[in-house]
Amino acid sequence: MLFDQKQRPWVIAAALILIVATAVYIPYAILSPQGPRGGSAIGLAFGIAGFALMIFAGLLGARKKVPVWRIGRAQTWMRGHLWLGLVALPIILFHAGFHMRGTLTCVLMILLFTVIASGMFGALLQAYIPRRMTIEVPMETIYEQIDHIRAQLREEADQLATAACGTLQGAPSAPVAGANTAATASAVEIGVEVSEEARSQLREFYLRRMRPFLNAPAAHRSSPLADAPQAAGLFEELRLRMPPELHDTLKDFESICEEERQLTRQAKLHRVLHAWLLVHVPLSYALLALAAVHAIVALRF
Amino acid sequence: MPRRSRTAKKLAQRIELSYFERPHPLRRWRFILSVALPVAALLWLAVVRVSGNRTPYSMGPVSKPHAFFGGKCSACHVADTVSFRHPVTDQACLACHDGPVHQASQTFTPSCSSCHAEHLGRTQLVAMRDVSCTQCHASLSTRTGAPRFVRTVLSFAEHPEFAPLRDDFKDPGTIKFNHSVHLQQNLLGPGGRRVRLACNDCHRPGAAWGSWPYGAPGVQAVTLANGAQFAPPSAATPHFASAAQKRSELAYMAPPTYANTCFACHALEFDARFSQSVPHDTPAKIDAFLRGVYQEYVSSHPSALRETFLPPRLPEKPVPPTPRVLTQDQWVAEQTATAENLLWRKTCSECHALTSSAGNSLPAIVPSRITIRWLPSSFFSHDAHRMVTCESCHSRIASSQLTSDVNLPSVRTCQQCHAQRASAAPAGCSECHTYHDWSQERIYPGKFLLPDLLKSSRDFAPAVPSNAASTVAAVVR
Amino acid sequence: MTPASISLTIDGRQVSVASGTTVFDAARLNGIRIPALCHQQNEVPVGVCRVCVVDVGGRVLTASCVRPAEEGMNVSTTSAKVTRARRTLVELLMSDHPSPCARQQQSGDCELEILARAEGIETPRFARRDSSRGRDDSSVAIAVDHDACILCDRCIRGCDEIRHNDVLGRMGKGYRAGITFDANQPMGDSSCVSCGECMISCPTGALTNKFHVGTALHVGEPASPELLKGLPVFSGVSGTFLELNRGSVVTRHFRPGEIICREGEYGSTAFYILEGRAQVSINTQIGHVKTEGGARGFFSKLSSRLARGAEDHRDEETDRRTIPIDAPADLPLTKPVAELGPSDLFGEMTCMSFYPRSATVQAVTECTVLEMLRNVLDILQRNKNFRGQIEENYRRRALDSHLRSVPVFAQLTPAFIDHLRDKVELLRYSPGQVICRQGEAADSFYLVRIGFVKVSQTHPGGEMILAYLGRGGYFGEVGLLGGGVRTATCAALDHVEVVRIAAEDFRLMMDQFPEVHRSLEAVALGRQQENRDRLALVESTPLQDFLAQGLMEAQSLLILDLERCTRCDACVRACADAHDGVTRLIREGLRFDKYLVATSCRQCRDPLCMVGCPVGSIRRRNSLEVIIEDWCIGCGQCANNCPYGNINMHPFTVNLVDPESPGRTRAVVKQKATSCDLCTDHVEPSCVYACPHDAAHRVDPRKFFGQLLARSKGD
Repeated sequence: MLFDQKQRPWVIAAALILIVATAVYIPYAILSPQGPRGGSAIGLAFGIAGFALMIFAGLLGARKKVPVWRIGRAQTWMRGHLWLGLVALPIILFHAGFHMRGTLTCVLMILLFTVIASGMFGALLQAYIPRRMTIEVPMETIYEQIDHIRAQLREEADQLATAACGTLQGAPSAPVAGANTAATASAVEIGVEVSEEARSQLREFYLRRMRPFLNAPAAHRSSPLADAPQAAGLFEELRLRMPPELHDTLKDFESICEEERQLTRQAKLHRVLHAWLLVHVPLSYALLALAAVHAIVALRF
Repeated sequence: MPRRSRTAKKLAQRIELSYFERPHPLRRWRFILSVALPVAALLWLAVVRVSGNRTPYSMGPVSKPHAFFGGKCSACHVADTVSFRHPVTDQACLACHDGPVHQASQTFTPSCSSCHAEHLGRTQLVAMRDVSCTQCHASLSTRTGAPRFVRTVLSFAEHPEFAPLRDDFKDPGTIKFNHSVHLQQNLLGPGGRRVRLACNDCHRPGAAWGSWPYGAPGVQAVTLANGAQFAPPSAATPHFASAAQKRSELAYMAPPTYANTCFACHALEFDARFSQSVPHDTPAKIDAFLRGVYQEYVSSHPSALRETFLPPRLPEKPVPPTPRVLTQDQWVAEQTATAENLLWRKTCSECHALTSSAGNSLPAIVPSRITIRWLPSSFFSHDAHRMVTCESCHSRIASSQLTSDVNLPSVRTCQQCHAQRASAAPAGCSECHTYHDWSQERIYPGKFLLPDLLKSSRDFAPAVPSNAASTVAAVVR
Repeated sequence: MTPASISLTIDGRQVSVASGTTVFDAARLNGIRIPALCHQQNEVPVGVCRVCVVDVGGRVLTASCVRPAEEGMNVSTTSAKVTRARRTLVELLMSDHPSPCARQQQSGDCELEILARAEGIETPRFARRDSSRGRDDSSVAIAVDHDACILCDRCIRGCDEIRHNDVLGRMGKGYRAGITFDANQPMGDSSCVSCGECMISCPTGALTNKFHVGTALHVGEPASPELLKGLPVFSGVSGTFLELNRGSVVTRHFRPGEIICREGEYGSTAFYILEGRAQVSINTQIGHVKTEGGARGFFSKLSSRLARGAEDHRDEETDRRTIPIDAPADLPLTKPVAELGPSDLFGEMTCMSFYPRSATVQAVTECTVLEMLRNVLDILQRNKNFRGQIEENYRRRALDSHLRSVPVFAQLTPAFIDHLRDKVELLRYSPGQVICRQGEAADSFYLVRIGFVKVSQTHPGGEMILAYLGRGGYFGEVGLLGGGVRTATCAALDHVEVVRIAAEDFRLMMDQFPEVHRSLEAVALGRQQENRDRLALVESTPLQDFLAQGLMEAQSLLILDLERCTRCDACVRACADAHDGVTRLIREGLRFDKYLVATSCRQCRDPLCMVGCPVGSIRRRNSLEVIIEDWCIGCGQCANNCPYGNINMHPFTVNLVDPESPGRTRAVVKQKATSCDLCTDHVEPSCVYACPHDAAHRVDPRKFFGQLLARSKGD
């Protein structure tokens, strides 16, 4: 989410609401006999307005569940969510008269602050992380499919390795359903004369270092393959040791390792980008639920 | 040639088409938490509710006087039979309190809770903001039409001058007292000492009944042979007009009494033969005292019956040639009359106003009418203003010669400190005024039973606020 | 001058042979058998295996297959020296042979292993090589086991000399030497036509038949060459060929109601009806995927269903009334059923170009059909008798409906078609063959009967593809109506059969039917305008990457601004929601600048997806949007063809008449090809609408990237 021209109407609307609310609040706070209270008419109006704003902000979640309903573009909702949700905080503070005395109201206020703070944090993340991801992970894929892609990468690497150095002893070949890399890798390399020594070196490298890394990248963080400059050095060294016929295979290996590293990086960035939702969304539902209880109880008493 | 290549189709075909239908940890956790957290929150409320605790719903702690209700919301929040609401009605308040009407001529009576904001913590329920008053007093109209004093009071700065200081108002007191004389230096004090009086030698809050500097009991109780006792009036019994005044024992100056202050210098002598003073009491008591004293005297000095009465102040007047022989009764009557003449004419009327009436030989003493509280509809505490010297407010006192002088400080004096400034003393209406006319207060006995209040809030049944008027035990003085 | 006859001694026998005869042949002609592996009678000898060594008294032994006989030569084929050398050779070959090889397993006639057994070689003394030379299973017909290859070159000579296919060759040296297809392509990706010559030539199990696809058919009874020779359509076909391809053509009998072939299936055979009648029909529900709901209201959820053309007229609906299929008949759109009779050939496109079956054929009466593989069909197509009959059939039965299936010709009178009947020519073209060339004089008008024709123009910047024309397509009118010069090159993309109408007949038609003239002229003008537009486009050639990703060809791209996109997948979910849970969008693809070009139909200007649709159901609107017509049979050909993976199959459960038990219906899952429909019911595609971060956009790449491209050009 970048802050651009399209945000302007919403910023203006939010500012207007805030100005009007403040304009109402200040004389009200001064003039009302008991000071600003949630139970007074204006306080109640602030409460209703604040709750409405929170519900509107919460409706974004519901709106996302029905993406095909033509009830306004999702981005319009999102902008509304951002700005009107933000305005909910001062409105609710006006409602409470900047106090929180009861247990429930105290909890509500803490929830509101947490939700708004996490939302703002998330908005900042969304402005920043996608750029990072775009720059750092050119080979990114769909986050949910990372494991699936990894399996395909392993398969592809296995096939490349088999093609280059013959059978891999003790290599269980687990074909991946739906992997279509088979077509590319099934081409059999013939006529490339490589000494058995070089091939066993490559096999050794593949089985000892690369395969374990591909199998469990998380467990091999310290592997030189997990670090781009180190991996580049390692492959450079391998190229010096191996005959030129194997350089293409090495290049493919290098690219597979690079992709693997990028997938790890992507997964990490993705989690950073989305983890705040684990706070924001559940807490906002809890906030709405408790706010509803609060509204009912407050109207009763 | 390296075989790896990235084409759009290859990339797309790596992806399973239905991946988004399967849950993934991030989404699953989001869902789980989104359900669990609101449920946990509601569960918390439910558990609290089942346990009978209502405090989470409270909008804040209640004020001190109500604190003993604890979580028993229904003590005040009475279920409305019509709607689902549980408002606090005036009835609920009036079950325990009286809320005397403010002004008989007010145009409307607000509900209790419109002014008294509860659940704001341990604050004063009676601390009102000015706006509570200026609702009406900003432009006052009464049922009878024009307001008696001023129509518009918005803040203390616009407060009108105190009524006793307006329109040539006179102090209604009847004790002849000259502040100016009493505040002079080198007054002749008790035992011939020279003294200089300070204000608090005579003026003290009602509750401060310590020893007075001149309050050494100079008047002993006298028990005459006939058994009649003449005790000096008790100094420790202040007489306050109402319960509300009693609350302000420390606030207001007690009226100076003869026994506490005056007698040290102003002895009530009546006869040179007697070192005693007459008791500071009603003329009838004095009369009885004198008669008793003289009777006693003549019994022990029979010769006195034959003594020529030489009026000491008229030496040039020829002495009656014949010594009279009086009966004992005649003598007592004569002596009493002489002494009373002295007292009524001079000693008593030095301070008191006496009236004589036909058919009664004894004069009547006009009530002193010392004003304890000059501003009956507001509250002022001298105690709270201890740090200020008396003269800095009562500035005209040194030059005041007449009883009728009103020495109340002007409202301007108050406004010097009490103003709408930062660092100024508070200037709110409720600093001095109370809304309710407490002089009309009726005090109710409580209705709650101790066992009821000790029950848990769930089992607590609110005391039915019966018609307040019927349970009133008027304790109006 | 060499003497006409020479005499020599072989194993002590005095023999006389013609001059130029090799020693090998001299021995063979005189009943002396010399073992050989690399030599075969119908191929030019190369002498690489050396198994045929004989002693001619020279310094070293000589390969008899390449050594010409000489006058007075004394040849020994069985001396101890020769026998030892041969034995060593065979033992060496055997040491690298995966015995028993595939051939030995299949038919027990691996020539090397037979020879080894004859020599009594059990276990070679020499070590095997320790790495495999690999297998290649990419061909549907032929399995390649490089380990079994003895590098005899018989396959290569078979491919080049006999078949002139020039696919096979040698590559690599020494240890890594081997045969190769084209330039080291997997066999399945090469230009191999699976004729089987190499397989027949191979002495070992290096090239073997993959029976599951079958160069021999395993259904029906193999038609004996004798039987076939008796059929008129086979008269003139060489018996040797039939003998060689025994099993490639079978006779099959079908009872009434039995299915002969089913639509959408892949196959490799064509059918020729000998007796009886068969019904050809499309059993897929005729209806296109329609997304509904949006138009009805605000809150209704979208759902997809199959809508018939009659109930849902899409704009720019074609006025096409027939479905082109792979048979000498067109199916009426309203009731897609036709009947085939004796001497009708169907399944040609499946057989020749491996397209999926376009329709279901069901026997109506007792039916006898010949089912044949491509090699047989190929020969038949070359056979004048067969051609004659097919052409005759076409003229008599199909020309009418074929012409009328093209909307602009719908008004032709039967009289005129009768006139054309004897004038039209049926021409066949092989893949790549040019039908007419840009700049040549326009002398005829063409109607596509089978296959796909690529229409392209050559420009200084290179070739630009204008269109792909399938069955029912026509071309040549621009040249005839215009300046008389071809404006574009038309070439066969696969095995193409076109109907040629000569210029004078065409002009006659134009004169007689001004209505046809007018509509053709409109089409011609439209095509010319389109071409000009494209040319203008090409001339503003933008940067390399843009071209490399094919973005230039796209008319509308779904792009995601990666700096805004939070990877929330809302677009994919929205797409799936709008299309019954089947997403037509994959949030993966290549990047261009800071945008991800998502996998969703690009509305290519060069729509490769349209090539190969067996029923011609995928087409473009005039607005160039890709649209899939009602009669899609769900074969998935377009999805395979799309270079970007943008076409997906959408499963529907429909109730259909059970072809196996007529009169009853059953629920079956039928696929329909779908691609992004831009959510046409709505103003904006659902994916774009659902993007909360303003990241997704549907854009015209040239306009959208215009600035970017102009900037980079300026650099």
